Amino acid sequence: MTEIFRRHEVLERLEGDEDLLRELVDLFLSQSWIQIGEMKAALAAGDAASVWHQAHSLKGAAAGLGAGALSFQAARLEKAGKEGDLEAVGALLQAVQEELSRFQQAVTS
Amino acid sequence: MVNPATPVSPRKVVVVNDDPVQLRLLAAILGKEGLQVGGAAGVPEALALMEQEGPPDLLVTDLHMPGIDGWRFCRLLRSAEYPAYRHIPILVVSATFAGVDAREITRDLGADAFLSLPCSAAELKAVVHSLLSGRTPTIRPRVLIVEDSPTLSRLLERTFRESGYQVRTALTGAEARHQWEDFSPELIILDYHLPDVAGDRLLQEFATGKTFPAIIMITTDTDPSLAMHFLRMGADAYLRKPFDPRYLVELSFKVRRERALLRVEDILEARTRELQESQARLRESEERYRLLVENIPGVVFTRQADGALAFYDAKIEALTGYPQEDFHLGRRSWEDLILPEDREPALLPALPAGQPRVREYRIRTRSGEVRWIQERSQLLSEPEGQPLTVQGILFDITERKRQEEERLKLDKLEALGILAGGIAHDFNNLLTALVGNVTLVSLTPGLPAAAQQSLAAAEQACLRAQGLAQQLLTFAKGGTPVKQATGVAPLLNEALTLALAGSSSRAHVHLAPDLWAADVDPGQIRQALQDILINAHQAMPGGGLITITADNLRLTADAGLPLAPGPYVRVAISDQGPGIDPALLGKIFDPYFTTKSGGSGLGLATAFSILQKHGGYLTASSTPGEGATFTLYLPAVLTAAAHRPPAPAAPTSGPPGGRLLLLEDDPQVADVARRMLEHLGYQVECVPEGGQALTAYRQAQTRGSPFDAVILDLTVPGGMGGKEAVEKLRELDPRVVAIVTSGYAEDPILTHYERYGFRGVLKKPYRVQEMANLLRRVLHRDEAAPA
Repeated sequence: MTEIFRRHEVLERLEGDEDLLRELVDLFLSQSWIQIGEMKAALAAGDAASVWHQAHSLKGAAAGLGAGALSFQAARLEKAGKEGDLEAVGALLQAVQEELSRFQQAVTS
Repeated sequence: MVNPATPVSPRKVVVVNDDPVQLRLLAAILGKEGLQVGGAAGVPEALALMEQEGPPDLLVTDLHMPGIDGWRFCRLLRSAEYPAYRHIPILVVSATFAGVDAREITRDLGADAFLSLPCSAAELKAVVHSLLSGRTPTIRPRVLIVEDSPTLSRLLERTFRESGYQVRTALTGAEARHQWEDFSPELIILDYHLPDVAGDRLLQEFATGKTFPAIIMITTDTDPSLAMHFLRMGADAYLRKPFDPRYLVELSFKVRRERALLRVEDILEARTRELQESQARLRESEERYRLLVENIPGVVFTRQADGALAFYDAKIEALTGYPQEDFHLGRRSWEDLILPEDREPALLPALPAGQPRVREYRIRTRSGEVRWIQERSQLLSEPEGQPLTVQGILFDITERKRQEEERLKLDKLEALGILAGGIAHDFNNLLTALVGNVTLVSLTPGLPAAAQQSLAAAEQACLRAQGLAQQLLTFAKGGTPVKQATGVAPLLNEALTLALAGSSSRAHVHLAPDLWAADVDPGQIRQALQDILINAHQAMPGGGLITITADNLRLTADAGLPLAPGPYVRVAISDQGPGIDPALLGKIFDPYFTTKSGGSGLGLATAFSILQKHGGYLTASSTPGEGATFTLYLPAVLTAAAHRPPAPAAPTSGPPGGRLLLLEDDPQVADVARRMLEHLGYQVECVPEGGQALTAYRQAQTRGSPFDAVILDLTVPGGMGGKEAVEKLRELDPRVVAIVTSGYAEDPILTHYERYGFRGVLKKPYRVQEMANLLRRVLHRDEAAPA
């Protein structure tokens, strides 16, 4: 749940296809940073619904790439977004962003 | 993508997933299997793709998607609307929806398999191949056959198994109950006649159970009312023996399908309701947030440092005059509005993220107006290589800044005022001694004419010194104006006469007709006008034209001036001088600020201070090269200008003599005052302090020779002064005749002496004649007034 990157597990799932993993990670990272930006804009605009949907998608994608900690934080963010708790959204968005940074460091190191 | 080893045309798969990573992952794995993969980010896109490419051999879809989700997609594909797609196997994948429930719902939806993500490539491939080969579907419905005839039971078991069911059988009611618990069948074929329990009894138990299975009753009984009985008890269908087992399977399929549709309807309804509710909650919370944003007296913003992404709330338009979209579309950058001299260097020192930052700067709005902004923001922590994002609020602090500057100016004035007041006080004491002695000497009989002349000149000089002290005091804080309805025209005329006497400048005066009267202290305003006029003509050493206009003005609260709403007389005084450097405009009202050699620097500061104390205002504007304009705002009264009736003239003669008590702490002043009073024929007793004055007054009363009047100095450093002394004296003798004297000529007590219990005022420095007149008046009035 709280592991930053379960690389081995993901690679096994991809039958050891390192190239595919790299491609997926790149895709995931660019996608996720865009989502963070969109969620921030949504937060500033008070659009919790948008945060909810983006966080949901981020949660799933992160789980798929073995980013356990990120997926966990995204799930909390999704819940806050769904409940329209903008205060919590602000704090969790920060946490999600930090986890994403950690994941990025883990995959690139 | 196509596996070269595959000889036939590749099988087609359409993958629907709104997450690009998942989409890519699924497509990559399936592509490696030699399948021709079409990807779609949503249902409409997938339908379009299928329309264009023809029905695929397999469909892989996500459940949660914006717009049409996986649930609705499955229903669509299995509905009569799309007969061409009805038999395409569907694999549902979901990262967030897992478990038995997901499987059942998927099956009910008409999908063929379910995979919970993340899954391994091997798992995915196995399911896909199984679906493509048309082999046993991954999901096999469970059927329980309760039939006491072993032959029929076996026959049905075989038929159902062939149709892809998982089958259990029970020959008795007891066995059926056990299987029901253990197997959780989705379908029950129930015989009415059982050896141990009545079939309808079991029907009741199963129909009300939690798993909510579909139930088909079978019976040999021909009673038609039995069918109704079964259906009422919760059976889904009823079949009379004998029947073709394949027909039962067909019926089962229909029943289950109906069940599934009902259930899916329920799910869809629940999901729709949930969505609506959460959207309502969201709207509420968004409304709250929107109200919060709207009510924040500032503009809420988020922007990337590179300007690629920016959001400003709607108030940005009111602040800048530019439309909100301009900032969002990147057509306008906030930084560009900041005055160049207020911008920060491009390379910001790296501030730790999350640390709040406050910046104040000026912006130029669309209309060219300059506004002060306070930006409270914080940098969001972004990983290396990501654009920096700043979030915060912009406050318009123009008004606060102006007030701050005003306050600063006033603070400066106040500090100087106190100093000036102190100096003027000492100065007046010295002048009192000087003037007093000079007048006393001049009263000496048989003085040579030359000496008389010198003494007159000395007295003149003293009077001029007194004028200067007066100016200092007017400027000082204590100079409370004594307001009265005053005509502006006569004031201007007097000021012009005094200021422009002997100068080569001329004045044009344009007064609006029906000009209101100003509610001002005429002496002080005359001085302010005079100071401004002197300044104007000094700006034109070679002479020139001074234009004066005056008009009526009714100010509202939003006039942008630091003035209360109400009527004002506005007087504008313009010169043709070189103008004032914009950089110096803010300083010209500072005390001791002067650009003129030999200027005192007090003139404009005094004028400003006078206007302030009147509840009016003085501003300066200038276009360099075209002269300067000073505008005075004088509070107006709407009644016609009128002068107060002059104070009744004091009697110039009367019986002198009497006993006086003088409270004066300065020995020089006390000495000269005593001699002046004695010269006038009074007996004088001097005391340096209020307490001693009380003692002397009481003793005199006891002796039976009370004082006729007391003269009290207002300020006695370190002791009881005149204000307190007069209160105590009035306790001793309510009829005490007290005169107040002070070097603080503008002290409010001197202005409103009667309120404090005094009968008269003697401003320092005083001359013999003034003293004589005052004493005669107060003593005479006292005699005239009934006790």
